[in-house]
Amino acid sequence: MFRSSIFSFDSLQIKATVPKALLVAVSVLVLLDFAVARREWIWAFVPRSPSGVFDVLEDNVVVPAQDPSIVLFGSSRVRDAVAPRLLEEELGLREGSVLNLAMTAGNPFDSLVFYRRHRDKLSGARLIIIGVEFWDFNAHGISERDRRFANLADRLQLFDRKKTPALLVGWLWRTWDAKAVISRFIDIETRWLLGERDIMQQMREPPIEEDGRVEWRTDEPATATAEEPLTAVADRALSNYSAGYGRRRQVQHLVDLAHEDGVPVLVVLFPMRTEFAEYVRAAYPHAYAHFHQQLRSIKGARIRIYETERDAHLPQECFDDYGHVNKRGSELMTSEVAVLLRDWYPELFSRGIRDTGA
Amino acid sequence: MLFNSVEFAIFFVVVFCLYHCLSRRAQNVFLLAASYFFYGCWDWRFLSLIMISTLVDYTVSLRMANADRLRRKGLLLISVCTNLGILGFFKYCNFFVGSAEAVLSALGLHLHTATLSIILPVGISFYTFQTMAYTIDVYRGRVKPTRDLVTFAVYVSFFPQLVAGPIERPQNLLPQLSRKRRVTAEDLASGTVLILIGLVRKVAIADAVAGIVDEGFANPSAMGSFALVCAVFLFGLQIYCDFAGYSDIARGTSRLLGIKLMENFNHPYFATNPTVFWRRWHISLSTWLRDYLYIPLGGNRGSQWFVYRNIMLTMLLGGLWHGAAWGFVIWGGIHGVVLVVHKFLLRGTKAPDRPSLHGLADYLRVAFSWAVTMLVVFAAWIFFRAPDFGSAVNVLSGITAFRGAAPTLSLLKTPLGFTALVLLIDVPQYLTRDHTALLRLHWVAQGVACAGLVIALVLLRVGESVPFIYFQF
Repeated sequence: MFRSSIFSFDSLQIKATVPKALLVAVSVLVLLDFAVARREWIWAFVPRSPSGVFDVLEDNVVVPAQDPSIVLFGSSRVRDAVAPRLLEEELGLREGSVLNLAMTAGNPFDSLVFYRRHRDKLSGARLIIIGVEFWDFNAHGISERDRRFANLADRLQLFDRKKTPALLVGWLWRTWDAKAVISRFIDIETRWLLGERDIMQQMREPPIEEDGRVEWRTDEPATATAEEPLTAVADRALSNYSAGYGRRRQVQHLVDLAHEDGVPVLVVLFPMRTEFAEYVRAAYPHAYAHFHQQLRSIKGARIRIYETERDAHLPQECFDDYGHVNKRGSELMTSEVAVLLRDWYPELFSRGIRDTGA
Repeated sequence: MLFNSVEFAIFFVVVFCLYHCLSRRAQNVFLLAASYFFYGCWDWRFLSLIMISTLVDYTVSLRMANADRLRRKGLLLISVCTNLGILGFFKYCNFFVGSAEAVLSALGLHLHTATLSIILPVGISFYTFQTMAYTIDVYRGRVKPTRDLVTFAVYVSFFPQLVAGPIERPQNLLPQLSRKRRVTAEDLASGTVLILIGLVRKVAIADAVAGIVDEGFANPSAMGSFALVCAVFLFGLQIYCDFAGYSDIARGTSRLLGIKLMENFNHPYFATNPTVFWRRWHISLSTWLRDYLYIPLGGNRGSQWFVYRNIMLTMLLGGLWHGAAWGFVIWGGIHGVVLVVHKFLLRGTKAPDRPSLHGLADYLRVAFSWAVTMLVVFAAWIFFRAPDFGSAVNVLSGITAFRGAAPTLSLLKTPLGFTALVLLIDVPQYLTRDHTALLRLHWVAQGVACAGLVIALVLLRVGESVPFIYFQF
């Protein structure tokens, strides 16, 4: 065989088949990228998934809504805490005018994406409420929705030494980002082929509730309380904490957009059980301090922190677990929010001002 | 800096480009700097240990050239004591102190010995064995000592195989480092394919099953029998794919630098008897143990019992090489026993590498032999993987208790899926006796297969880069 140094191009002989094979490989990968990973259907294929739940909220809550008055964003704790119909009743608002767009593991980026995609509609709201969490400003917390919706600027803004290279790879090559959704699709199809015929119905049924909330979560709260100790829940959320600034920028970006549209923004930490908050403060002082420092640096929004259940006048039995309220807790918390809104925004929500539906 | 990390990819691209622009002499200096940088990324303090081993063996072997027999022996002793001393202190100190304390305590003597907080330097077992092989071969007159310190230092610290082998021999690596390197287009293609296959083995198989394995071994008493069988089986796949994957990447990257490393795995799970298994599993270690331990102990010479003793000693020490824990010794002991039994059954004949199959009876005999071999191999993995002896016994008793859910197609999906992926890679390699069998396909099939491997890599990867299992040895 002819041997040559690879940098002696005169003598380099590459077998003609190698470039052809390479071309085939690249073609297959590009085809997969454009035919699958860049298509919306694959991301929305499973409604009960971190990515699919976004479409469920869009299709079932945002699109049918007319002239929303209050829009809530945040995590499952926000979703559980505020009952839209009850808040409308408390504030004398028209039915269907409070949109609770919070979702399991929701973060500030989800809020920003919702606002960007539906700015025409959401900019007509009287108030935007963004629920934040102790773990929201963790630079390592990259979600499936980040991978789905983040453009290049968003990815660079989320800068983290460990995560940024992968986020940039995912921007160029969407298959990289779509790993979880493609795997989920293959898994469901395989299970269906193996005889689990009800899997399709279970996974694809939109988890929408009567009052417009999306009651989907990765585990049942009762199970979580019974099996997971407080420390495990907190450690899962905070053990890989890396102080980042990208999420704060996302909150700020949303506040700025809303400000341009003349919509005030309220940032809220919803209450959690006292022992949980105390554990976080003691075990993760840096994350705790970083959270408060990031909150303080948000400009143009009002901030309300209900750190523990005492701050929101909730009894302990109102919680399903360490941070999610139950039905009774939701009723009390919604009333608490209504009081807050009337106090802080009397011009928008005083008892005299009633929604006429106009 | 892990092979399966973005940092390594950037590091290697830079090394590859600069390396090929340099002259041979400069290439070696550059490789040494790159290797020390690579190792320093783990812990720069332990670079001193590599340097000590390098300088001692370089000096000792040079002095052996003109020394008489007695002096040569003394010099060899200096080298062996230095290398084994470093290895013994960093790897086995606490183990032996703890074991001695336990024995004395059982005898009623309660000593309060202090154990040291010793960090195990990554790859120490690999490079000490590699540098010892050089000195022993110089002593035996099989290799001429090199006067080129840089080349020898690269031999000890060559980064693709520094932290987890293959444990190279001076006869293979030193001559390649001493001459001008050439990389052909075929080397480029085969090196790239080896890296791709290695990454799939490591990232898409070993790391992907690690969670199930960890769960099974963490709390065996809470697991059903079938779940434990799956955990043990998947650990067998995990350790094979993890280590063979590392070896493939090491061979692939070396090939791109114009250096061919020895084969370290040759489809060990296709072995139909324990002797052949050890010819195919971690070849660089098993041949090292054969050449530098088994044969000096007497090897196959002497009485039958003497040979059995040599096998047992070699396998027990081979087990201990993997780590300072009795689980590894038991694992080595199990393999020693089955090798002794197989040697007894062979009655002086040589076990063929591949069985000859001429009829149904041959197929049945070979299938039975393969099944028994794999049963022993996978059962022995329990002692290798379990954190302690009690856990290993729990796993074994959990499996034999026949408790928990019965196997269903849905539960079998994971082990079957990963086995299929391993077979897709290994069967063509085994049949063609070529680790780059993929390159023998039609160019369309080559392209589709490469794309398939990349897709498997992307879809089955876990979040973070996971260290290779053999780094801890």
